[in-house]
Amino acid sequence: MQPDKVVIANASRRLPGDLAMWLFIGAELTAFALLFMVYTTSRALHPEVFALGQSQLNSHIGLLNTMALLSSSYFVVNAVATVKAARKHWAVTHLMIAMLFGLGYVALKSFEYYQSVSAGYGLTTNTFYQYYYLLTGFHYLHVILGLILLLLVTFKVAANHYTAEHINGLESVASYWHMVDVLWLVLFPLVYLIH
Amino acid sequence: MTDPIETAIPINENRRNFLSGSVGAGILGAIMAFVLIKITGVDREVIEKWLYMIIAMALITGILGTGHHYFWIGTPDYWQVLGSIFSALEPIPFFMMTLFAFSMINKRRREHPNKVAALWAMGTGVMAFLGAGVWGFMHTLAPINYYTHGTQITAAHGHMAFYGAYAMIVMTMISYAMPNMRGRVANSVRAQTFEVWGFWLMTISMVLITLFLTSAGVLQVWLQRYTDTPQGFMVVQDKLAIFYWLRFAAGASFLMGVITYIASFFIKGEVPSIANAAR
Ligand code: HEM
Repeated sequence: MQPDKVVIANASRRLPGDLAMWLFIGAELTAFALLFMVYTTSRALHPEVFALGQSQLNSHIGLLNTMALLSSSYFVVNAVATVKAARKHWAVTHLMIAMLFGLGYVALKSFEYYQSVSAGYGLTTNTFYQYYYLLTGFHYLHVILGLILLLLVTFKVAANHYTAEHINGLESVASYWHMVDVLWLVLFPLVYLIH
Repeated sequence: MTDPIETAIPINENRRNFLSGSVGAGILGAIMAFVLIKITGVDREVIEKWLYMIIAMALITGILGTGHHYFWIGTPDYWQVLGSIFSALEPIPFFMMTLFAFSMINKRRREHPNKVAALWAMGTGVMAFLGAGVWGFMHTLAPINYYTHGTQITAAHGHMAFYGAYAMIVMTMISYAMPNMRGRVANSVRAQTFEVWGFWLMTISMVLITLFLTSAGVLQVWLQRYTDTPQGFMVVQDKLAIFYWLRFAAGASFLMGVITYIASFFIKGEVPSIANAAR
């Protein structure tokens, strides 16, 4: 076997980020999976309530938010790559753009909440709105936590804290951010699109 | 089916809201980590990483998991969903705790002469997982808790969880700290043997208490709740008498365990040497 191949094989088997972060992600995904299952079951039990509720959502905003999170994830990927390539300055820029997209998500989602709440729909309106607010609300809180984490690692990148070999913290946060993204990719079709 | 909650429990009887699940795992983990560092000599970094993971898991599941105490007190419906989902995950940190204790003791880098402290630490892991994790999970989903709420099932869970998580962690700590405070690294082999007897007497008795209360609970739910012809609380209590007598006997043998345990403090004998031991 050629030596450089060995290195590549090892590199691809390495877990990006901290094992503890992956356990955390595993627990989060389990909780969301249970919520998705409860949502689906409840939808099967109350088709009319859900059909009516879903038709009241704004799927254009939902689509914009999907694009915002995907773009944000893309810039986080870039940030990790630039730190590995020792171009710290670009990494900070990429992280800032990623956070802007994340903030865009928060702004749009808040606007959506504002609209539904002013239209008189609340957590206790009906089964659909109960799950709508619980599911998207949980996800919203995760986006905010992700943004705080991104902000922390941006400071650390700016302070030259990470190098190609010592990048565990940045990778952990990036993995978390991708999880937030992936969850939305399930949530968006489930709540907005599948009628 | 009649509504068991309406018929059997005064609707305004507010239940205390314990944070015991999450707080339990957190406090338990912290004290356990301390004792494990002392008796196994495993690196503090390794022990702390476990501790952080356990506490993170306890928080994620525990904060909303407490919702399982809000099911039937007049709160909005969504508590049944939140409480069920998150408390169903609460056993995870307790399971991690058991793995934690056993794997640290397996990886130990010194043979600490205080063997019985290690026994208490492992026992706490197992019993907290059984009492809180398994017996808690048994009645934590809202559709099940609807029938078991406030029955002997709750009592069975409460007994084993409190003994496993709190009583045993306190005795783990005493077992480690008392000899130190009395100026020795560990008690004599004879005193430790007595303590080990106390451990097993108490622990096996608690398992029996839990099993008898669980049997009483199953019968109670069957006669009083999960039926088309529910019987009155006191009528059913009479029919549970045999389990209460058995539980009483197990309680008596638990008391023997407590006496043996306390007696071990007064047993003399040659104190193990300091060599090889942590202080
Ligand atoms: C250190 C850990 C724990 C301790 C000491 C503990 C103790 C107790 C006690 C004393 C009660 C009775 C409260 C009352 O009647 O007001 C109780 C109730 C309950 N516990 Fe735990 N518990 C622990 C962990 C857990 C876990 C991890 C779960 C779930 C997986 C759980 C599920 C429940 C449920 C569902 C009830 C309500 C029972 C009912 O409806 O009557 N517990 N617990």
